[in-house]
Amino acid sequence: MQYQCKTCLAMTDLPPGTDPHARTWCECCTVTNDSGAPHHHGRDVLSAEKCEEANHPGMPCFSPPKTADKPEGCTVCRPVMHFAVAGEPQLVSG
Amino acid sequence: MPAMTDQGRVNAIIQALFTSSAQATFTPGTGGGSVFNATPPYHLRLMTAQGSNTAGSNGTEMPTEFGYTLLGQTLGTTFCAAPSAGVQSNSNAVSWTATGTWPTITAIEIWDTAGTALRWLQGALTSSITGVVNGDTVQFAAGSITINASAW
Repeated sequence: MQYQCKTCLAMTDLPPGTDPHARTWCECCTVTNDSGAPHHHGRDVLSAEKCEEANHPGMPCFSPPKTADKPEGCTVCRPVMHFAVAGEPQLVSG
Repeated sequence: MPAMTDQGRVNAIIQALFTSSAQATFTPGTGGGSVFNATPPYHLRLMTAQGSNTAGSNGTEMPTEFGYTLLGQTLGTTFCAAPSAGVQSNSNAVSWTATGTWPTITAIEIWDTAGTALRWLQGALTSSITGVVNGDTVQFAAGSITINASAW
C-alpha cells in the first residue's frame, strides 16, 4: 500500500495491513551500522525514548511520532494519503 | 471457455458500457431478452466486506460516516478511456477526506446512477485500506482500477 505524507509529499510503501499511524519512530529510524547492530543516527536503539532523543532536527525520520507534531526531517507524518488499488473488478453475472 | 470472444467485440461492448458519457440502451431483438440501460456517471462504492459477482450478492458498503457517504462517489462523466485488448481503467481520481477512524475497506463496487441503480462491477482491493484516521485522504488515482475483459 502506498502512502503519501500530506505535508512533505514523501511516498512510502508499507506492507498490507500496516497502520501508518501506529508506527513508532524506532521502527523506521533504525539503521544498521557497520557491524550489523541496529543504530539510530549513531546510537543504539533501545527504546522509543532513546529514538526520540536521537531525532535531531534535520536528521531523517521515516515514521510519525506518537504525537501529532512532525519532527524536523520526518518524511512521513499525519495526516497521510492512502493510495488504494483495485484488483480487476468483475462484471456482475446475471 | 475463456478467451472465446473476439476482442474487437469485447472492446466495443465495454467501451459502450464504461466509456460512454451518456446512457447506453441495449435493445435485443425478438427473444433476446429485455431492453437494458447503462447509465453514467458510475459511482465507486467502498465495501467493508466483499460480495460476489452473482447478481444480488452485494458487498457490505461502508455506512455514511467519517467523510464517506452511502452510495459512493462519482467516477466522472467518462468512467474509463477507450479500451485496448479488452482492458480499460478509470480516467479520473476519486478521493475522500476522512473525518474519523474508518473501518477496513476490502473491496469496491461500481454502480451506475439509474433511478434504480445497477451494480456493474465488483472486486477486491489489491490490499485493504487500513489505518485511516481523521484528516487522512483515501484516494483511487486515475488508472488504479483496471477492468480486464480480455479473457471473455
